[in-house]
Amino acid sequence: MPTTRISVRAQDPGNGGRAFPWPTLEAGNMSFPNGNYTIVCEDKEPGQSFTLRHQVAGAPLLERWLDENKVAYICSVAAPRSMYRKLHKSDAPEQLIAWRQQDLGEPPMFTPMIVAREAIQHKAAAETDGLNPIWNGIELAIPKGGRIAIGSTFGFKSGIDGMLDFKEDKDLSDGTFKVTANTDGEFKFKVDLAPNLHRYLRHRRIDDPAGTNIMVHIVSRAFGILQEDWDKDDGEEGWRSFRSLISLADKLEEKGVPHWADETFHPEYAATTLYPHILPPPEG
Amino acid sequence: MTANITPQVYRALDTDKYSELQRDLLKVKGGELQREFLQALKDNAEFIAFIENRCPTTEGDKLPTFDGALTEASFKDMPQDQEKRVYELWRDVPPRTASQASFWASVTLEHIREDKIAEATWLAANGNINESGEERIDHALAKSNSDADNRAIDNCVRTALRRMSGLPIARGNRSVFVNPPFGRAYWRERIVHNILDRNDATADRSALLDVVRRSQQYWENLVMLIVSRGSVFGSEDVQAALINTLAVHFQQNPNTPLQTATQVSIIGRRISNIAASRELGALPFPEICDIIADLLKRLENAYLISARNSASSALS
Repeated sequence: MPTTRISVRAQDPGNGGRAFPWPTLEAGNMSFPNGNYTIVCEDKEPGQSFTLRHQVAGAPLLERWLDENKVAYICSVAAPRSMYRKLHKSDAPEQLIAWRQQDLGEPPMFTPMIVAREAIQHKAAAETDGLNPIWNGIELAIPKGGRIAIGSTFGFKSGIDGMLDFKEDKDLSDGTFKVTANTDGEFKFKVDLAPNLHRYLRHRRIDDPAGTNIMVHIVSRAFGILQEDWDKDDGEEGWRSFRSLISLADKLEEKGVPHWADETFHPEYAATTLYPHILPPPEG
Repeated sequence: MTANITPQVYRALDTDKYSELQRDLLKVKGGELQREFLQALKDNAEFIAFIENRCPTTEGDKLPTFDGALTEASFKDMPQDQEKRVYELWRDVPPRTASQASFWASVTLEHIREDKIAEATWLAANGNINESGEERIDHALAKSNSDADNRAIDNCVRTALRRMSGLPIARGNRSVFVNPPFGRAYWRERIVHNILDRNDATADRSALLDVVRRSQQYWENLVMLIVSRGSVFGSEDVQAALINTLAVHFQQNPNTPLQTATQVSIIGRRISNIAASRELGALPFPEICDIIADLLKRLENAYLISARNSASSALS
């Protein structure tokens, strides 16, 4: 079953600049200098539900509050395009997050966090609490619902777009690129691009013919890799172990296009279905 | 676990083709396509053909059309009882469908086909009550080719697209909730129904309607708070609590200075400040309402003090 692990560390760049009136574990906030907040997601029904496990390490004060049941575990599910915003709340670190596709106008985004279940009063002792010394001796007053750990907002992209990892490669000459499969963590295609192509694609308009043609080349190659490398596996241990590939196969199926496990799969046809060539208008 | 009920699928225009058409129509102000579009609006059958030739309809159930009498004025700005009827008829439409411009375009087109919208030109009427949609189109098309004249044509086209379905490519996602009269009715009533369905809401239906139907700009600002990507309204409980608390506050304080569209944006920002460090959605609904009620009182006091100070400094 596909598992996704997402971590934020205090030392990561992030929103730490917004001064919380109490120590919070989030990227860029050095209140818990060694703190690490990890989310482990495991599919239940792809595209409808998953289990989410909250884990905290390197933040002794938070870990104590977790053990003492002073916190609630939260995951917000948002699809603002259809006004959908739901908050899943759990007293246990493992929770089920489920939604109905018909309520969502777009793929949902998830934001995990840990909040104070009731108001918490605590006199900070930097060393034993694993806190930055600036908090030492301060009387903390965290209101009910106060955010004490905030994870990254994430989504499960289902299209090929979400699987293309564009990287600028200064060694490539103008107008050239390379595509390779990257199976570290979630399945991605690493697309090394010459600096001029990288710049062009970053700012391309959706209806730009040249950009579309480049995308056809890239996506054809990506599908070609899938066809070469993945149609021989047994399915369970191969491409089916990657959530992004299952979603991509579903997406092609929705459009009536065979995918790489099918004998009638043509990478160039799948690519041009997703990115049809844009032709200049006929003369005259 | 989610219920595995297959949602009903309703007919809509092909989403990609319809947004392509909207994009094409906005490309050249006063261009040939815009003129053709406005000309087509003057004849219902021609207008239906104009759209259908460019945007095929997807397969699905046909939505029942509105069964009341519509006029140009009531279509543009639906009375409350008509909005209620619209929602009663269409409440089974899933939000996923109701958030698509291509769906509302198809619904509007169907009403033109069945003569429920007697003249497709109604789509082009703007706020000027002395000028019908047809007159507005005629004025725009009769003009020459100057920049100002082309802008008049462009404005007319944009009005028609906004009223037909919303115009997300120009106005963002909020357009579907605020611009097409049918879509606006569905979403306003849906929000009110969802609040009334809760057993902890304290406002009654008329007070809630007073909030969501206060003015077009008020509704638009309220929608912005909910649909913007950076919104801190992380849960529907917070949205419901805001509307419930505003409704109760307006009912108890009919002269409150907090009733303007600008004020609802300010209130939204102040809630954002609280929610930045505190997840309001994790609190029970009555507690969220208490926090918002307290905020409203503080804002109102600050406003009154500032007004008093201005008045006394003007006197001295």
